[in-house]
Amino acid sequence: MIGIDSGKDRWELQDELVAFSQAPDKEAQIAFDKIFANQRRRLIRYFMGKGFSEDNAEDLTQEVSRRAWAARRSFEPLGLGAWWNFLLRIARNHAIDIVRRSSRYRQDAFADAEEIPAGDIPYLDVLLREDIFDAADALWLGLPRRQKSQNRSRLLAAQLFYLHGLDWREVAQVLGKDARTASHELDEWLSDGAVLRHLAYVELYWSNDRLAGYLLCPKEPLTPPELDRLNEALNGDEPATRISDWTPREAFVVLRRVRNGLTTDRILSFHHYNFDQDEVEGVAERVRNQYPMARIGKELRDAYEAADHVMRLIDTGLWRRLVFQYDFSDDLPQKQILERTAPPAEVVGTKMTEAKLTGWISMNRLLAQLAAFMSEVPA
Amino acid sequence: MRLDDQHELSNATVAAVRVFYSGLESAAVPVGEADLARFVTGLATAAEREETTAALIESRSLRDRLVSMHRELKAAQKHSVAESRIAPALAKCLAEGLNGSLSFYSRMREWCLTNDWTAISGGSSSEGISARSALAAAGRTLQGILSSPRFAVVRGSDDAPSIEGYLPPGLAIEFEANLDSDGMLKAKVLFREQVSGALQAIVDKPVALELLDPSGGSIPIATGRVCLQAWSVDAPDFGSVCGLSPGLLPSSLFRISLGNAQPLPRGRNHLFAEFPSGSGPVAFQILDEPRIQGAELIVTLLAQESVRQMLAGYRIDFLVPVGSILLLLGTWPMDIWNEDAHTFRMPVPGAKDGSFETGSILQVRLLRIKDEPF
Repeated sequence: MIGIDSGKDRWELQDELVAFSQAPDKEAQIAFDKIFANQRRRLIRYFMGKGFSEDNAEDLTQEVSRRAWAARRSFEPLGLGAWWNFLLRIARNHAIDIVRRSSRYRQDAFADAEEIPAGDIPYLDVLLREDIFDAADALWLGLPRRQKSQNRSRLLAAQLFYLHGLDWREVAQVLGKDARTASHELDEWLSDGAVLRHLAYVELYWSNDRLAGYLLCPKEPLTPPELDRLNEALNGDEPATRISDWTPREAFVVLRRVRNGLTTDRILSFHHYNFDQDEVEGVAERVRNQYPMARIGKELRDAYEAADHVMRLIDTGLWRRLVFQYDFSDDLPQKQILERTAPPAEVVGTKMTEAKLTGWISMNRLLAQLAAFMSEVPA
Repeated sequence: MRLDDQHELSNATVAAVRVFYSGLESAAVPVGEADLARFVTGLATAAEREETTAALIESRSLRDRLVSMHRELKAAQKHSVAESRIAPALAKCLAEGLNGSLSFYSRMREWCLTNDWTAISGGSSSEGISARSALAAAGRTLQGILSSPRFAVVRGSDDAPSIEGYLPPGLAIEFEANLDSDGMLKAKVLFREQVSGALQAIVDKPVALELLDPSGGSIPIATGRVCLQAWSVDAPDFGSVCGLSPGLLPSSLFRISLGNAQPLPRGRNHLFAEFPSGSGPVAFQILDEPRIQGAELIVTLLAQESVRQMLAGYRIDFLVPVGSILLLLGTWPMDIWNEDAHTFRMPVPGAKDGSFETGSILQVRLLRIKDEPF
């Protein structure tokens, strides 16, 4: 479960939040144990993301639990957003204390930490309520909400048909459907705008990990654990061996730029390798030239053109969905979002520009748009 | 209340949402050759299908492998399993599926009796899949019958269900089975009292509705207890599982058992051999029950000389449904069938000895040798 999955759960959570803040100790403790357990892993990840070891992160989370309990009477039970904000605030304040007292941690880890404005709390509440990626698929791709299994089956059918060249009978066979009865159903799926956008989105979206793994080793892309090991080797004293066509120095830049989405300036700040700007820019240029998205865009365009569906590729919803994912999930700078979306957009006949991107993602507008959608269309 | 989509969210809020969601995607379950083989042969359970589908949509190379397995399977359907050159994982899966399917058929009736219709129509267990396969096989035989007026009365001369068990004097049964446009079977059994109080004699006694398989045996669709004058049965997806069209179904396809009815007596059971051209099927009478003995599936069929002469130049293929695949077990030229009764023996490595109530375990097709040489 990512967020709160149903109306029933939502009301149960609200009851527990009220019990936590207002009920007598025994009842409050039962409610707290339940609602805190759901967020424990998230808090551990939060601390680990700020540079703490897993053991330390667990200890810190335990301390957050103690402090949250102690501060329960000050908590206003106004939903999941308020609850998450309450926990994060305690976590942040506690972590800042630790960081200030020790030179072991990056002092700037919480430099940008700021309070969540009260006006944002309803948005936070809505966005945490259920799976926002599912809602994003519904808003921009037009997929039905909370139908993951059905959406996946349809997507697989479309992939087999449009990308692997199977005819509808073969698709039916592979999916275990009776070819005598599946004709109409498959026809509907394979011409459905939402399915076509979903297929294009899944093929055109390359997460940081996936893209880095592919660029470093196109024939047999590196998995996230392999990328972690490579990262450790590149950061260690033992120089890593050559990775495919990349020297260790180049591989370091690829990882930082593609996997971590860092700008050239940030990469130059890693003194370990003594990079100069031309070298980093040179690798970045090479990386861009090897991005697979334009090639995939062409493949999609050709396949959709043959079936007279090419217009689906220029739907703005598809591109908003891609930009949202790169911005929110991969935390990419705008320039890199443009690098990953503009070439395939051009191939399929639409344009992604700096101005368009700014309009979409400045002031976190896509996320606000999603929250508005989620508040209007309950799952 | 709708939130404002032009609202400017702070970076702190976005960061909080990001932390909330980061790293929570469930790790994809590794999918290997064996999983793909189960998927492409239709033997995967619903949970396995979910996991494999999730991995397939993420990986082009996995889909490439799936497609090549599918092509291997298609090619393999022209040769018997033993002769096919297919990936080891696929061969192993098919062998296991075949044996699972064969062993299920020998206890299909018991399984269907103890599971409700949902387990048959939508069950995700391997036995649920086998049950659908069995029903589809029986459905194919029924289609053969329904499309061939000559055989419309294979099991009875009037359009009434078989009634088995104790029917008290003074009680009549009326029956109707209708397939609606969604493929739902809606069957209704009405107990009509001709003598007042006759119904009392069977109140609270078991009642079962079964589909008679013209190739032998029956498949229970629903069980219950008599409590009122009417007993209704709804079986969703019955039409699609059996491949039958909407409308009223002949009542003679059904059997109603009252009390603890005895197993179905053996009748004259038929196998309907299909022509790929779609022209009317040929019925071969089954002699004895099909059985497995010494890792061979043995079936004896009866055909008169005139029928055999008509089929000179054809080959006869025996296939068995395994998941979504029709597996070729053996093929012979019709020329070898030189007496009315002929016994066919097909290797089924590793299968246990036993016999089958129904011949629907097998599908038979007739191909012109000059079009489809061996």
